[in-house]
Amino acid sequence: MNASGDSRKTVARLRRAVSNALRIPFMRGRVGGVSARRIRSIEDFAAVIPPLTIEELRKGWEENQLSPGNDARRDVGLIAQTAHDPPVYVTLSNRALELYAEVLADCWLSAGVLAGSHVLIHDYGTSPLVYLASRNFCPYLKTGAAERVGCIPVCNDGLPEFTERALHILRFVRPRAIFLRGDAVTPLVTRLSETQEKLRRGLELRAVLVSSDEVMPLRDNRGHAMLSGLLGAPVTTLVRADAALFMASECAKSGRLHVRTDRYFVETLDPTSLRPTAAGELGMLAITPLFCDAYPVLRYVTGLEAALDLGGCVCGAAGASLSTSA
Amino acid sequence: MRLRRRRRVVVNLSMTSQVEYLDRIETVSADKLAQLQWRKLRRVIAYAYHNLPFYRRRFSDAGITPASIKSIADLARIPMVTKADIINETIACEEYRIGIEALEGRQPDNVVMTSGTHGFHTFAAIGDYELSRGAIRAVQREFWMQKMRPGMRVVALCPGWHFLSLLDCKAMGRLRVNCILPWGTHIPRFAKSFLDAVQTLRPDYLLTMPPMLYAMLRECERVQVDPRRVFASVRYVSTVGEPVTAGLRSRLREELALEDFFERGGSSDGLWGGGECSFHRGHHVFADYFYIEIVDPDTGRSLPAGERGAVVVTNLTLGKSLYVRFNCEDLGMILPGECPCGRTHPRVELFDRLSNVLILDGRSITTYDIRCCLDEIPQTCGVPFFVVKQSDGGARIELYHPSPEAPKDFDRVGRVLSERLGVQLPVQVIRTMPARWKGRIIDERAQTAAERYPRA
Repeated sequence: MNASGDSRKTVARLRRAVSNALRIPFMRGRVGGVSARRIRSIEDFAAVIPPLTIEELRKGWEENQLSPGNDARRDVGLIAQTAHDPPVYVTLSNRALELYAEVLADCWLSAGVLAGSHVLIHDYGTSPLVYLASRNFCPYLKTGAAERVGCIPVCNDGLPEFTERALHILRFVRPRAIFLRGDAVTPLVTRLSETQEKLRRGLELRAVLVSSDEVMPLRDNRGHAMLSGLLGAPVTTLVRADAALFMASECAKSGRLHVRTDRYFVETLDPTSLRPTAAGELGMLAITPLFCDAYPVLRYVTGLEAALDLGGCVCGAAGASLSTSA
Repeated sequence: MRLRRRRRVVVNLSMTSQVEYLDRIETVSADKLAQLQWRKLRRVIAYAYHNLPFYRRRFSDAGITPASIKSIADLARIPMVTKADIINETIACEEYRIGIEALEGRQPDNVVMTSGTHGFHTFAAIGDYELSRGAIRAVQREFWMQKMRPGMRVVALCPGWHFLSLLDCKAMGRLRVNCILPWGTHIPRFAKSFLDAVQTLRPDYLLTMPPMLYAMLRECERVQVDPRRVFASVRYVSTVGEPVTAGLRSRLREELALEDFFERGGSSDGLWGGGECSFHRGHHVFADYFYIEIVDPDTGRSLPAGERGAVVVTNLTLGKSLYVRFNCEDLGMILPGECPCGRTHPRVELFDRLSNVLILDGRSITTYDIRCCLDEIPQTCGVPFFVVKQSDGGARIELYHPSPEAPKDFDRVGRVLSERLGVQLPVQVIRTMPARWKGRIIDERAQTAAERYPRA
């Protein structure tokens, strides 16, 4: 199952992604002598391009086949490491950086962030949740999510030992939205339970967005419910797969993840055969980002299980949505 | 009030450029620099008085107006602002905006905060001006001075909560370097990620903090790889967060086979920074952006070059939270004489936080002084150490030595400390480093052993 039907636009985007990928020795090696022109349909794409695992990506980096400098990608300004162990890297051209930040801004907007408000980001500076948040957190980014939405970010390293500092920000900055790492929920809930009344005064939170990725449990329903109760705001999830520059946020009405099909081609694959699964069937989520000219990852198989639905969401949003197994 | 844009010298920013200075102003005569500072100071003081309630109130209480300040010497009439003043105002306002935000009517771009050394994080609002045309230029000069060049691969973290990090981030973009972001933060437990980034991506430059660098070296030890091999591509390292002595610098240069090792310093309290040039004679503080004074911590009297005291900063650009005569509570000294690099801007040596100054046997000692003593002994030169304030009121030194064999010459440490500093301090060897990202002082009264050594 894939996220786009067989639209011409999608096929054109996939062809462009394949064409970009073929400039890189690692990708050329994986697809053999295939040319991008061979991709005439989505089925062709799935037939020609083998799924890519994290281990293969890592090997590509270790063998120096993915590192910029091996080709003409001169506009790569940023290389970011992922949280995998051992890690992989993503290389971002200036254009890709802007489009990636646009996806984050969309997630902010769908979570209900309003222009003019302060937002607290409780995550590491090297997480895309932070470095895409503002043009001041990342070299080469011209318009971060905050500038796109019109809000003022205040950051806090997302370590459990910095939970106290997050409370301090809640007290004195009074943000209208919080974005935090999944593993920061429990320490925050613990501390909030102790100081709840004092903090709630003057706090008008509209949204709490908890981010999880491949290397972090998807959702802690109990923790989210407690956090929502303590902060008096809905808690939704933002799912990331950093190795494929993927982000999608949860719809508050349906609980499904809205996917931007103009930015990602998503498929669900059978975990054993790695063949596409039927509509609505659970499978391994595979992602092809469509905006990464300097880092064209094709059919990256994430560690996430999901079912894909093309019939739109109950909230009225058209396009693809994902339900995760958590 | 708007500041006029300054004309800049355009230099050829190429990898092979031999141009030493980024801006002509770096070598301008002391007189011209003083004139420029005075012009900027007058503007800042007038802005603070007319637009910022916090300063208006303090100026009025002291019975002064901008007209009362007729020369740089009169600056001392303006009451100093302490960290406690900022904390009290933040608590009183229950707001991070306390009337020092010189944003000229605009919204801030970002809110940053301090690391909370005194147990309270203060905030600062940063506007677009500062990050596009303000102190960012000082950081660009600093990087250029420290041999960062376009096209280099630079490993750096960009924690968005720290002011200097925002400037670093923007300046790296302006210098057109390839920026590598390792996963995590400056906490030593992320050293593995940093090391992988260095091994896999072979950067030219590393911007980090000393504890992270030590943790990376420790990780090399753990996985039994030669640091020289891992750091083979790295030509320069620049650290920030704690002073690096000459001995430690030499050792790290040798151990990592670096072309040079630089130090940067400054404070997120007071929003200022500076860096060493290749001659390593203190931090050049760009005087067109910051006015630095050193004052006696007890009397507030201005101290001349060569004397240690509290660092007091006045920002010379608007577009951010404005600090006028802000006492950073850091122990520093303006270095006398000229720097051989030709830059005319003042040089400041930073030793430690004033609150970290130890009073031992009636003498004021800093961790910098202890480091200098350790560097005299070849076996302890560059060895990480901590000063533990004991629960019985005494203090001891803990030296990190991971291997089980007895360390050579460690027994000489006590003797050197006694000879150089006139203090008797017991010395203990530790095999595990405390998991902390800054600071060499450990207050045993405030921490349990398990908190200090979570991996032990």
